[in-house]
Amino acid sequence: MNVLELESIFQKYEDKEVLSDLTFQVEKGELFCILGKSGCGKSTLLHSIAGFTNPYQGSISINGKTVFDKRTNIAPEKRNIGLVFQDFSLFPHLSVKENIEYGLDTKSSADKTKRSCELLELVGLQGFESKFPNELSGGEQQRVAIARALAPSPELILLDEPFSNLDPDKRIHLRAEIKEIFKKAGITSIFITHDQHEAFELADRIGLISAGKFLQIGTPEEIFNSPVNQHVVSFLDNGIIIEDAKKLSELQLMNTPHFFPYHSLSLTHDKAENTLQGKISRKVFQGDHHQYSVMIDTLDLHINTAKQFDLNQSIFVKFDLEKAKKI
Amino acid sequence: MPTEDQSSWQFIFQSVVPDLFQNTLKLFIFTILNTFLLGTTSAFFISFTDIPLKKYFQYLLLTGLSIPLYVFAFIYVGMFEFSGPFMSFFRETLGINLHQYINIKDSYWVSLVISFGLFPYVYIFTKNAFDNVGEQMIFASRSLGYSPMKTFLKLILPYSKPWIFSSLILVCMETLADFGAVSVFNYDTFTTAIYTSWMALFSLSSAARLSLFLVVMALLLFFIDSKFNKKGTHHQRSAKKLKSPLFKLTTTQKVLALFIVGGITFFSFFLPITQLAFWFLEGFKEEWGEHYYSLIFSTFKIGLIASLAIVILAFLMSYLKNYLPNKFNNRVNLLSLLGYALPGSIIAVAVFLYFRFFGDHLPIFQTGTLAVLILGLLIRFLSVGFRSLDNHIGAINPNLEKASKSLGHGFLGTLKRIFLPLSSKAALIGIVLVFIEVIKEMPMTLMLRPQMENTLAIKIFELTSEGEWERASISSVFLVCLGLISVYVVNKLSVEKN
Repeated sequence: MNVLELESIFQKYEDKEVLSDLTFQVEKGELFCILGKSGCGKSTLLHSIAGFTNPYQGSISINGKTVFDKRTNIAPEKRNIGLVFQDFSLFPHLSVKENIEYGLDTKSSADKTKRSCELLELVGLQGFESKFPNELSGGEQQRVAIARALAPSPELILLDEPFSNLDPDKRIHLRAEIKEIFKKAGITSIFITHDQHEAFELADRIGLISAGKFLQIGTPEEIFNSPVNQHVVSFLDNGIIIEDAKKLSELQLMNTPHFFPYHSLSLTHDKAENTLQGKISRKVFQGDHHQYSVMIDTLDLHINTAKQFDLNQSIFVKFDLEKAKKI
Repeated sequence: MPTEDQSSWQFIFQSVVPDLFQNTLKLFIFTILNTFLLGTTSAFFISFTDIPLKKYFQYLLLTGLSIPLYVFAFIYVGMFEFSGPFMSFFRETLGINLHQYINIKDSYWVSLVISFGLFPYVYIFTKNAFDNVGEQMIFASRSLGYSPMKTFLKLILPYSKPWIFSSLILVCMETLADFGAVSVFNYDTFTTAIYTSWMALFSLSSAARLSLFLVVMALLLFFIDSKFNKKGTHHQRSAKKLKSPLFKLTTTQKVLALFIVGGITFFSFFLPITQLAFWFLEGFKEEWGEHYYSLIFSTFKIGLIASLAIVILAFLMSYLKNYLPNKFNNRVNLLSLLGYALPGSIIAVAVFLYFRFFGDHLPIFQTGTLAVLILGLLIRFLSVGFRSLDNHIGAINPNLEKASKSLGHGFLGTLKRIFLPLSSKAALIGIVLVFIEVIKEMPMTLMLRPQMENTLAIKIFELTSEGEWERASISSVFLVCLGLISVYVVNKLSVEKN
């Protein structure tokens, strides 16, 4: 069952089209990630779903109930959507417990306490009830923000770059933790990020967005291994597309563009089957391997290997045809 | 002498002090209520609605601050006293005796007039707090099921409480310290009693004892503010501003909003300014004369000497505070805040008493000399200059000092080559801010000035004591204009600075 359905959403901001013809659905219990560079319209999309800005065209429905179209526009407070912000935006004058109970206004105080205890346990912050936001670390603040958003049991929770304000080493740890929390509680969520590693790690499905349009929607594996066009490959920088007829014939491939992920390429000194000649243009030491940039005519590609090659050395790139995908 | 002094104190203590307490308390309660309502209402409309002409109202609501409180007072007394033009018009033309409803010298009306002068403090603090809430917290609240009105009541108001509280404490301090306005109303408070017992009853010791009451109250306010407003509760965040207003007003609501905010600006700015201009034009020819040149000269002389002295001292203090060990820090900080909490009348009494004892050994610090007045002003307004400079110097990257020292410049070299040039603009802002406070200052200047040294503020005091509103308007217009110019200059300088 779909919790959220967006149907051809168009939106303008100061006369500039920021979202154009966005259509997608999010299933119950799914972690859907919107991946894109800053300024691509990610935040606007999130604000439209939550009801803080309005598209000029399209419709949005939550659990089959239309919350926005030409005739309907349900106020944000009635959409039952939870929000987690990049800076967490905890209410600084309220304690952790009061923050979490803020959205439970209509409940009795016993129910409130019960719910906030449950959530503190879920996010692993028992004993933090009476602390104030300024006494918490970034990671703790984030968990409180999630607990606060979950408290009224929203249909859907939206997370705006939830990890970008955390230290890099904490991020990885927290991602795993958050995914576990969400899966355990069966939460449907959309989070936006500019970090593809984050998206690949967390998401059930990814919507790759650029200039207000989806480039591709799919599982992390689909997006990584079968990109649909050059834009996706450029964004991910995870491989190359070979379109040149001469090169394709050298590799004994049919004359349609083929995508090769970088991990399907290797470097050798000698010409062999399925190789193209190139030249090392850049060499960066990375500890247990080197990252080499190789130019094949005008094609620029990146290969990681522990083997030693010299800068400007002429070499051969071997293509693993089994991993190639037609585009 | 001591027996005479003793008896006048007995008289003051038994028959005057209870009234003074009552008057002060009433004034506090009414003024807190009034400024709270005026300040938060106007901040609400400016921060959270799409009220028309918002751009202009934002500033118009603040302009009242450039009118000294005592000018406000005499304008309103002049307009609304029994024989005033307003009352006469209602009585004679319309047959309505407004005096039945408005007795301008009654505590509620005194407070209301004072509130129109002081509410901008509440407005500006509250507006800052409101703007500080920011888009995301409001979004968070609404996504948790709170309507705009509920968000305002349950989130924004509680969040802003420390700021509103601080501003109300500030209003109380200003009310407590005020001498000029209440003396125009003939409304007796501690400041006027101190003046009377010193200047009319010649009982310096009674004045000193009354000052003690005032000191205790001022310190109490200072204590309440620092006790109940712990640092942590003022959350300084750089919040994203709201892109669209929290409340979109309907046409009827817009009219109502304009009526309310327009009304506030009318009574806090347009009405008094119009009346003042009217009197100025009427009375200028008769009142203006050579003696005004010396008034203006004295005003500028005292203002400039005091503001230069304060800013130089404030600069050194701030430099030392930021670049010397911690122990010094906190003390300087506390001291600088305290000065502003003490009403001018108290400082006048304290300085006078002090130099009556020690003046014999230091001829230039004999009571009644310019040096003593300057010293008093310095104690009173050091905090104004210090805060303005310290904000700036505190923000200078401390690595600059290390860089300068590593390049071979010592303490003085660094001061001269790094901090002076970097803070020259802040110093200029400080001078302007202090200058305007000094030339408006009334009770201390009145009590400590050298005999022949009259300033514009003193002139206003003398003329308003005799009910000469029209003649007092000449000096007032000068003060108001200087005030407006200073606001403009400070704005201009601050914008350039950023």
